Amino acid sequence: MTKSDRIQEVELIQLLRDRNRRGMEILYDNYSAVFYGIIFQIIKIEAISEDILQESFVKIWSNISQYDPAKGRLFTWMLSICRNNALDKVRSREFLTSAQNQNSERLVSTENPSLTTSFNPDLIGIRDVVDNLDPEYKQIIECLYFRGFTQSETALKLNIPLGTVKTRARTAIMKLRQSFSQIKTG
Amino acid sequence: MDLKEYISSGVVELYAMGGLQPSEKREFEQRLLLYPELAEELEKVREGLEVFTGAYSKNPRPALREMILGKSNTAGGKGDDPGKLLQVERSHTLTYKYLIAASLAALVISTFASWFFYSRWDEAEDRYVTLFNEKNQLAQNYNLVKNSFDKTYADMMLMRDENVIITQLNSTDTTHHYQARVYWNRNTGETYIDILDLPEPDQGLQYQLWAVTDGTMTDAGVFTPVPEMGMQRVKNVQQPSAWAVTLEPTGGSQVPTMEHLMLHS
Repeated sequence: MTKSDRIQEVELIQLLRDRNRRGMEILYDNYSAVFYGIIFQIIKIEAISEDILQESFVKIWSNISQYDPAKGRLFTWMLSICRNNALDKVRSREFLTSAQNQNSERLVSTENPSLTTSFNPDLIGIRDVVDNLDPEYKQIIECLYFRGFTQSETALKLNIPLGTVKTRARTAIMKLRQSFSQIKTG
Repeated sequence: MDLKEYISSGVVELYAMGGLQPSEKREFEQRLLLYPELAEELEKVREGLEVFTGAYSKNPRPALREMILGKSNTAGGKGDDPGKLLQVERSHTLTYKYLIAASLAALVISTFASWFFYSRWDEAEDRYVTLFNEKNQLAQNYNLVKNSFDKTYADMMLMRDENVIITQLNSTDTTHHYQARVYWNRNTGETYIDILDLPEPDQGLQYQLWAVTDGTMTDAGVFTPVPEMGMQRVKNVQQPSAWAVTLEPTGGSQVPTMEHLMLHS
């Protein structure tokens, strides 16, 4: 995030703490697409993803007083609320039974983001990067980040040694970081 | 610990994606506080992940915007939009309301219970004191009866003893019916007097028992006439042939005052 983003974040936190309607609108307009994106990536069912998005926004609004800037950025905090809500839903008994049919489908590796997302010119370069990421790296992020698997579950799922999960996770994110910084500078 | 090696192991990425085991996670969080470089690296990894997440951005249905922003009023506690999430929120406040109501009820019940048990305790304390006093009274009464019984029993055993010789003493003045009995044990010489009827002596005077042995009158001790006392032990006497009671100055005399002879055998 750039410096001006940080300042915006501080203002946004204050607006949210004041329960200012405009703060909530800014929050929604700036972040709903990212939040919905990660939730949908985890849940893969639109109607349920919408419910989880609502739940996540309400949680962010009602728990904003518990957010501690010393522990990380607001965006990181909000994103983890969305991700955890979605993962909790996916792991719930109710979801597991109702989504049994979609389950096998859901286990397939990450869809191509450009197919599922709406058009946003800012994201074009980033999408290319993600699209072009080697499948072995995509898989590892898919398992850990979108499935919420632990390291050992991931190792089991992908049939690779435990140590490889770590190194591959590192390489995957290093590659993403390098490519993203190239986009920014270039 | 080599921090560079630790970072390059991929542990930061795993932490950021939530893939660490609980023990590894704790260790990582402890190190995070110690090493600012680790915190910096985590921040970079998170940024990378967030940009990556951004690639999956997907606009929700436009209708959702108003629906969700409508909930913001609820989250702020001033809305009235009856929706699914409103119910979620309401059930939260409801839970709190129930909790508050339940704790208030518990307070009332416990206050009442405290008062109730305190009064019960107070009552029990009173009853305990009463019972305790009654018990003491009974014990005292028992002791009195026991002492009285012991005395009576001893007296009766004395009367039943075949070695005890009982002598009846009658008044010298035949116009009165004064009388007493002397119990003398011929083996031990123990002597008891049982006053049946004798008047209270005047101030400064006392009754004295005399034993007649070999024609002389021997002092057998002074006594006070208390009929309900039963038998009174006096001095031991050897071989008495007769008994006499005289009135003497308090403490008794060496020689009997014969003009005050009250009883004789």
